[in-house]
Amino acid sequence: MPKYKQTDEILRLMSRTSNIRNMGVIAHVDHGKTTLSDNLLLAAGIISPKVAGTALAMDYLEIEQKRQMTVKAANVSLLHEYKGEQYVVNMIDTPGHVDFTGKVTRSLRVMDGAVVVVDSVEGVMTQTETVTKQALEERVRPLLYVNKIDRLIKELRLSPQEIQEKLVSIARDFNSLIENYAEEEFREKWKVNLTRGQIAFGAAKDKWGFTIPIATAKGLKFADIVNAYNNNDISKLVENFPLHEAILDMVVEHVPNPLEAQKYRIPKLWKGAPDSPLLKPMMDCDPNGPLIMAVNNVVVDPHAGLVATGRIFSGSVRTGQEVFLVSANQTARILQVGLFMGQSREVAEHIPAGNIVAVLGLDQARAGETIVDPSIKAEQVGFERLKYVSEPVVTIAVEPKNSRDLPRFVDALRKMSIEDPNLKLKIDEETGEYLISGMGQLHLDIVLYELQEKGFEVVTTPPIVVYRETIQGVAGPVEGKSPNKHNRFRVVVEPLNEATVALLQSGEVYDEQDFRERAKILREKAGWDTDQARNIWSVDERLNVFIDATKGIQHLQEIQDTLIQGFKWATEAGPLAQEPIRGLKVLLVDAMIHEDPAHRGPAQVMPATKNAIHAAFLMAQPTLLEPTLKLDIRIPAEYVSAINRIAAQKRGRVLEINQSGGQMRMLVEMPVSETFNLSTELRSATAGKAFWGLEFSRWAPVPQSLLLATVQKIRERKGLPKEIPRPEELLE
Amino acid sequence: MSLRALDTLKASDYIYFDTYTSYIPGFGSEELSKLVGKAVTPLSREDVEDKGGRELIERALKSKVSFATLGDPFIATTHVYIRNIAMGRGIPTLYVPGVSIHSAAFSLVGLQIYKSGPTATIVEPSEIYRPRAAFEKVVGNLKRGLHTLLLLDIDVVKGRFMSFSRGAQVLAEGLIGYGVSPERLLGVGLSFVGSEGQSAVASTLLGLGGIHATAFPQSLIVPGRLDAVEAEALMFLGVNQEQLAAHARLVEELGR
Repeated sequence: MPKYKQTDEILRLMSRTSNIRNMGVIAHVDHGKTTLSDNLLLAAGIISPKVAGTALAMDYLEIEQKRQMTVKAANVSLLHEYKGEQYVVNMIDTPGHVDFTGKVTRSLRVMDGAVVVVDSVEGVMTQTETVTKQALEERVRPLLYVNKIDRLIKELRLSPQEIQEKLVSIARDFNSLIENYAEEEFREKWKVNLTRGQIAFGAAKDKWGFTIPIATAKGLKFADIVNAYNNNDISKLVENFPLHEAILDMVVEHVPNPLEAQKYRIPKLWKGAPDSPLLKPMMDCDPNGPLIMAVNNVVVDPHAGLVATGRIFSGSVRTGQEVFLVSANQTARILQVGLFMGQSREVAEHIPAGNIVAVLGLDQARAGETIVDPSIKAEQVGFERLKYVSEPVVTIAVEPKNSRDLPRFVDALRKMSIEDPNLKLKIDEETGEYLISGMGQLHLDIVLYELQEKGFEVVTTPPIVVYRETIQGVAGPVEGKSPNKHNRFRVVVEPLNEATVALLQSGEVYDEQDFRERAKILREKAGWDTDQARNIWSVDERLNVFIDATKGIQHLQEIQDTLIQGFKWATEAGPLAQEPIRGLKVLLVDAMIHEDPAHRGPAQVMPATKNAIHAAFLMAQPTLLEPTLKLDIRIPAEYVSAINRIAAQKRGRVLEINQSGGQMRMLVEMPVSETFNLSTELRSATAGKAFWGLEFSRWAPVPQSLLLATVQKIRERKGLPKEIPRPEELLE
Repeated sequence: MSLRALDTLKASDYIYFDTYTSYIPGFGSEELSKLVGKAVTPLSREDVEDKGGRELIERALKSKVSFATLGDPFIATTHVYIRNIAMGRGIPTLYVPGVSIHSAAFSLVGLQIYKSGPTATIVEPSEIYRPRAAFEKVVGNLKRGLHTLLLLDIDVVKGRFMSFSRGAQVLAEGLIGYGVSPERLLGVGLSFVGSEGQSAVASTLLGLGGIHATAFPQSLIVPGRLDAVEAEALMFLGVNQEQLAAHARLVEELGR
């Protein structure tokens, strides 16, 4: 990759904070996000004009190009001139598939504005809503780009007047998202307006686009566009109205610069104490403040090793600097600082606050890490505590066909799980199987494709759906005994209410939280009793809560950590089918503890805790939860009954049917276990005319009629005894 | 083993041997079997704890069963529970005492058992488990002038035994938090108590951390207020007048 003359200029401009814009492109799948991104790269001279619109340079993987979807986020710095001034636009690529929403959140954190791409024919779809909502939650200002205007002309044959009406209606739908999801402060301010140039239109594939101010200045009318397509000559359009100009003008004009944005974004993004002395330098975007940087992406480069990219919120990054990684709890040294120009990395000495940067040398960094100056490591908080945006729901076992490849194969898997925090790799110690878990079938398909691209012939098992175990009733007190019988713990179990599960899932209530703050939230938002809320010992990542409801028991404090470990051990694999437990509240109500520490160690306390919890669990109407997906399907009206039929066969529930343009839109909820052949069936039932998107919907109870069979099937697969243990056995 | 114990074992239909509570090198179920002239079944921690000694109890319903253990486990854990189950099911039980570490350790050193306070085990600290009970017991005993016998954690299955020097280190670190100086406090390291080759060595707690004995299991005593005879006995185990005086002052100060 040749060096571009712009690199030097970009590096110089990076220290002029008011001339920096951090933005990204977000969209519903297939609405044209990647094609738009390529148009912008084209403008930066990073890819050749011929490539843009066809080759999708931002997608590192061929598979994404084939699927027309972006999987890995990359960050690129562009130079743009607007009204005689130079600007650096740091573009953060975001994944287009909803299966990877954890990544979307991280990408959003580092940008101040987002261009939301909407297909002119399909309009605002579920994922448009999801990503716009997420952007607003991170206080990222959304701007609108309506893509594929050519479809309105070529496919729907709309008149200029009808096109205009269509666009106005999309803008109205988009503004109603802002009305619904923006915080009050931004609700009016951030609504997009045609005449102010906050909406762009175009066809990314054909590389043209404009905003109303541009059209007015240059005298363009909708009729001209219709004529250009009808006359099969769009060259003038492309020449006079390059898409990247329209988009970058809009970004420079309407995305706030880091100085403005960090003032209101930091109080929302920063998870540390509200009175922390670190807030001010970040809100001021102070290049001389202590270094604080949020990592949104890591890739493993075959030559350079691990490359972490992210945004500097305070201070500056320098080569050779010593830094502290908050999540990894480790000190490390930055070996190289740089910025990304497409796939090539350009080296810099020093990059200040407000910018997006790539650093080398931080091998323990993962997406979501917070990098700080070692002098402030005592703060111990970052931009992220465990957040549960999405959980892996499908697992497959993989191995290379040729066993000689195994070491290289495992190495490749490890690398992939480093780059993708949503991909979980686990080695089953009993069977020796390599299990990979992901957000859905598509996610795992991409992983398998990548493995094949690396030259492995991969053997896989059929996909296994991950379930959760939970209870519907209350049980206890139940007494669990330690192996030596001298330690006894009494527990009561209850299901957590929905409001609590939501608070845990969103990360609003979490493990290391100040207990007063946590108690206040639980009391006010989830109806908790103060005493219980204040005595929470542990909130685990599977969304279960452990509470100390005892009074004045000797030695209890000393074994608190072991009890917590026992609780986590119990929730890791429930008694029904050894699937993770979700939504459980455990109250420790009484304890008898051996006098001597050797006889109340982990080997005694952990099994006693686990057995008590499992026995109580089994007595409290236990059940399984299964993951369900939400399908957003667009079809011509005559196929509605076909979709209804498929939904009925697959335990699906039609949530909504409505008309949208000339098409019907159906929202269907369906268990993941029923979706493995769904694409094929949808395609054949609709003669290939269905468009659809999938996203995780919720954990739903397995119907009572299927419960026992499902439990038996999982137990059999795992080689567990056929019978579910009886509570009495666990309490002996 | 006492003659009475040997006779009792000889008169049993089945003999079980506890392999995890304690350990004597070169003495296991096979050696016991040779000594008694009968088959001996070894029992692991799992057999005794997780399975609650089920096999043993079932057998005892119909025949005469012995359960042999090194040392004196009734004073600690599960074995009492098994006796309770047996008694609950109407099985007559008989207790034949063995050599208890408690009396053997004090006798070996020459300390008086009248002045012994509560006992505790020193456990290797881990990430999730850092018990302070041993420190609290020692401090509590010292305040009252009492001696403390410290048992040291063992894991027979994994073959891990804490040495008295490691025990002294853990204790020394812990006691600093209670304002007790391990340079002034005396300690006695014991190894292989109750068997041929048993030994004892006295020093400051800090000094004990650097003394290594090769025979296991080991234990540790922290003496309290010493009378003249006890002090003399400790001098034969390696401490000098000055150390004794410093220890005495420390115990005095703590007692106030």
